Amino acid sequence: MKLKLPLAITIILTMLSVADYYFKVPAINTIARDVTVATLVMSACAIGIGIISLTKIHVNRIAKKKPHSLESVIMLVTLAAFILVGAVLGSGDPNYVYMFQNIIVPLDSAMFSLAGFFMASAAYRAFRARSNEALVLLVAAVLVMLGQAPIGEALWSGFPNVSQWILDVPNTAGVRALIMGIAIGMLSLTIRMLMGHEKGYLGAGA
Amino acid sequence: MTAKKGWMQKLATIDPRVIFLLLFICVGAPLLSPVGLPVGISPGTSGMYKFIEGLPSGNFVLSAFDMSAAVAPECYPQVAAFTAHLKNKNLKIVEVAFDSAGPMFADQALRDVFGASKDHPLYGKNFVNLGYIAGGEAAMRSYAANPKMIQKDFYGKDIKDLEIMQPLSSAKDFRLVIVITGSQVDNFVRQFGDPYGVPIAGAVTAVLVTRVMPYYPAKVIGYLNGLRGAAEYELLVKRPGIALAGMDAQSAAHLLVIIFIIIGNVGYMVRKSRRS
Repeated sequence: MKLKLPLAITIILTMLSVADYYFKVPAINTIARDVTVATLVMSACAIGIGIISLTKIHVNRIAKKKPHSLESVIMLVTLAAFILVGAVLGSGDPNYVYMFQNIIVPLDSAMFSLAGFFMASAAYRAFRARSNEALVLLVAAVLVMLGQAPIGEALWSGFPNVSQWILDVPNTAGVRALIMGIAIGMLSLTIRMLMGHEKGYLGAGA
Repeated sequence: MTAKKGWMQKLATIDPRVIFLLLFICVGAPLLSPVGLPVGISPGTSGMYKFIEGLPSGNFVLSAFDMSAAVAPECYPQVAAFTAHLKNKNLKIVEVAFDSAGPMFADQALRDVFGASKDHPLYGKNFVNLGYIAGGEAAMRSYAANPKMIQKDFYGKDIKDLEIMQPLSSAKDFRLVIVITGSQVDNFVRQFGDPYGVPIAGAVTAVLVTRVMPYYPAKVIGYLNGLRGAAEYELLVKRPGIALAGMDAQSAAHLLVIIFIIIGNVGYMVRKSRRS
């Protein structure tokens, strides 16, 4: 029963979603819409569970005086401040937006921007023409980089066209194949779930 | 010979901190003293601009913010540029977010382009910020089926009191969906483009462009390619901003990386030839 019930729920809901897409039957469409709304409610609850879990981990770290406890304190204070301001004033309040624009945005952007420095260093150390294939990749990368920045066009007006061709033809062909492969994989997984062959999502021992 | 050998060895093993410093200078110096290199318009940017240009006044456009704060330096200049275009064309702008950071950027775009957000006299008539809907692709699906699925907007105003929301019954009522994202546009093609036949445009990070291009121009009518795309759009709407200023910095950074790739390979080739 422990296995059969979740399996039956999955099969019924999957068939409902598929039927909703292909048939305009008001009863099916209404139930499918309600099921999707239930998914949204569960997603919202997941955010709450995430906050509780995060708080427990960091409180535990502070209580046991583990290394980096100060970072945990900063994290909890920031979390509390955002929740308090958001709950009392609302997330559309100018004070909340100000906190977001001046704390989250600079920190998050700085973290993301650091990748640029590491990529520059990694390109120098790892981008070597060790084989013919690596040489083709290297030349393509240099051409695309020159085509994407205005300096390339200033050096030679043909760089943007060459770069665009690389992106339009070999790149798009490769990515399309990848997207189609993923789609076929998802389709086969759905069929396996519908037939009850795929049980991995039910956890260990299923 | 020993001195030459040492020089080649140095070329192949430059300290990463030297690269970081040079990159910092290459990005910083052009921002302080711009050169003003000419910027050409790419087909993706042109496609999006022409499509919006061709939309009759009063049509509905959905700006879907699926972006986090991390991608803001690339995506926000795009948002500011195309929102200005939507305003100039007198189109009705509905902003919705599928990432928790999205509503704040939607609010910032309204303040930057219209001068105010919820306090503007046209708020609720010509534009609206609906806020964040949790649930990822399921939220997109629900929203596409019923744009009035939420009770209140980002500022707590009742949706029923907002004039702009009244004619909307499904995604079919939008003439364009602009996706602002650093992750993927595939889900918008699946939930808005295919079932409702709504054209999609992408305002995406440069690394994501390769995932957008397979859908262009059949499913995605145009796309903005990172900061470069934003700079191109700023040029088209005659609203020069941070993206155009950043183009010189991007050029210098790209050139530096190419120089280091060449240096690294010269050092590698010389060492390889000596070993053999």
